[in-house]
Amino acid sequence: MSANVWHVFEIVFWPVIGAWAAGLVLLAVNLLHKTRKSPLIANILLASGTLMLAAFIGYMWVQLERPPMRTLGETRLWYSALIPFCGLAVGMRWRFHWLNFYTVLTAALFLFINYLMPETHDRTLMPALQSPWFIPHVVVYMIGYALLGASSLAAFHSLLKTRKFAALDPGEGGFMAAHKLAELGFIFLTAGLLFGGLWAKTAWGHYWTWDPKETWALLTFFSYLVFFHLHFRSHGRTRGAYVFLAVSFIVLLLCWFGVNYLPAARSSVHTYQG
Amino acid sequence: MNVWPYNLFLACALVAALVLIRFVPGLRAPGKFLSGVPMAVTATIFLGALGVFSGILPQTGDPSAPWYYRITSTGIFAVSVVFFLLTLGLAALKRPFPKSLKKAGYLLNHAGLWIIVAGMTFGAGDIQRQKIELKKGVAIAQPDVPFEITLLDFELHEYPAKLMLFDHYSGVFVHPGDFSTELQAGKTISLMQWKIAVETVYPSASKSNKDYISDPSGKGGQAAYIKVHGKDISGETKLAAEGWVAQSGPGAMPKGVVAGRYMLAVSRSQPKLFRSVIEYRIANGPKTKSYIEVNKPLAAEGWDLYQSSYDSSMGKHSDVSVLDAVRDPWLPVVYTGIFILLAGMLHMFVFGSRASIKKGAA
Repeated sequence: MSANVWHVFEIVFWPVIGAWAAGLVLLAVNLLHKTRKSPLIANILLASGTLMLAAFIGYMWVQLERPPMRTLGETRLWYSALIPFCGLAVGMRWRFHWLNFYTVLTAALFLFINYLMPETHDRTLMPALQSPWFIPHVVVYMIGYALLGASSLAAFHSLLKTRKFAALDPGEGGFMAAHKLAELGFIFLTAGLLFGGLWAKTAWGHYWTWDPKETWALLTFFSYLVFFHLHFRSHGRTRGAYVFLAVSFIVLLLCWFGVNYLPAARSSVHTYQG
Repeated sequence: MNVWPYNLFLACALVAALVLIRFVPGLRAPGKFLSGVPMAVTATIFLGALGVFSGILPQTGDPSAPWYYRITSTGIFAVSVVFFLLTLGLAALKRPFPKSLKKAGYLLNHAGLWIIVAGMTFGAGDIQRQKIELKKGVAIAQPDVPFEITLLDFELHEYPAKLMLFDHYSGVFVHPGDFSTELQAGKTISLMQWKIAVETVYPSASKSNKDYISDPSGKGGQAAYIKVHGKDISGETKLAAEGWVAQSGPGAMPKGVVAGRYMLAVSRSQPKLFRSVIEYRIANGPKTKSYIEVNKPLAAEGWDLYQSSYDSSMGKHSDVSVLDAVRDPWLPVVYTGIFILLAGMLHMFVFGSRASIKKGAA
């Protein structure tokens, strides 16, 4: 057990960033030439960078002898590995390849934050986290967060392209992708919230204690609920619904990172995430 | 404990009101209005806005605190929950009998969430929660909790301790210990310009003259025999040191190894697992032996017993164990809601959100 996970991260970091950068450059060339063909090589490069990162997470899991899902830095790694796949999937499904720029740059940003903030990787896992619920709770949330992040980015791109007072075209690739991604992300988010409740019952004796993290998770859930209802009501033609999509993602980020900086965090049981 | 189940009556009254509004012909118009999208959005934002207060400001159970420090016990919060249940309940009743599986998603999602929120709200008053502080060998019986519990033993397992380094003269930490300096037998730790060979490790040790020996009781501190080789801080003179590094234990001080101007010592270790070995007896029945561990509660007589804490200043030697005893008769209601909502999410995953909704109605 002498291998140092951090050093390996420093080594893996550059090829991952390199593969992503090369993939994005190639994709840009491809899109600017407006070729009809699918940007196969660019996709392969983006996917290979992401797979390298996924392999590193696997390595870290083995080395730490526990799921690498405890600290905020560790959750950022998961996010960086998951969100590029959302972009690739949307690119292939709705031919909306622009999303890759947003998803991969977001992933790179998160990876870069980890690079700048070395964590002392620790094998310890407090007893409350030693539960069969730990992995499903965190993985499901991370997939949800990645999908919802990609959703906001897709909507943002398409809103920029639309004239200010014009009715939106719900059939446009970006809006369709944003809605579908939000829907998928919301499913995972809800599952994560409910799994969290079931876990909390076995760990602390109650499924809901108004812990600040729980409260913000509920607010995130509510915020997306409002988005879906507004979107449904307007048939996806008004900006208002998408404004709520943006608000929802901000609430999501508050839940993920922001809670630690709020006065309420003093009483949180999620403080091990530090 | 509620002698007269007001909460159950209130819950039934709400359900009756929802059914009346939905199915009495004269009330169709207000019913439609209350269950529409604008009302759903209003109710969600109303409840959410109050949630924002409780998410930002630390909350307390103290009834004399200003309202924004105890949001969930205020009247306005109660109103917002009732409003939420009213509009959500009417929405759920819009399509109470889906004609096919494909159309069932709407009902699953709305009814599932309604059952969860209703179960939480009306069940809150019936939850009983008690701390039970157990002391080794003493049978404890508490009012309301229908059994007697004796703590037979408290066990605590630790993660391997870490080697840390501090300046012998100034007392300042040079290295606080991390993953790479965990004490494991046979491992070589690189620290400063040194190679530190870890020869023997005892997870539980006691002192015997100048040596340490394994302590089978499990209550001793961690100890390791280490050999340090390398150069001193100037990089010129050779340095070699060896000896026992140990945590404190019963009747033993912590022990370090001096290497030049530095001292190598052992950090406190973090608990990996702690559990109570208990014996419980219901009324005058037979005694049953069992374990209670974090994430592994014990269920008996409608109560759940959770391992909560112990005397952390005593660590492994704690002969006190604190349990939480919880009784929540409405739990099956909330769980039913949770599984219905999960089924709704699965439905949405398979069929998509629009499959079960007619265009133009929500």
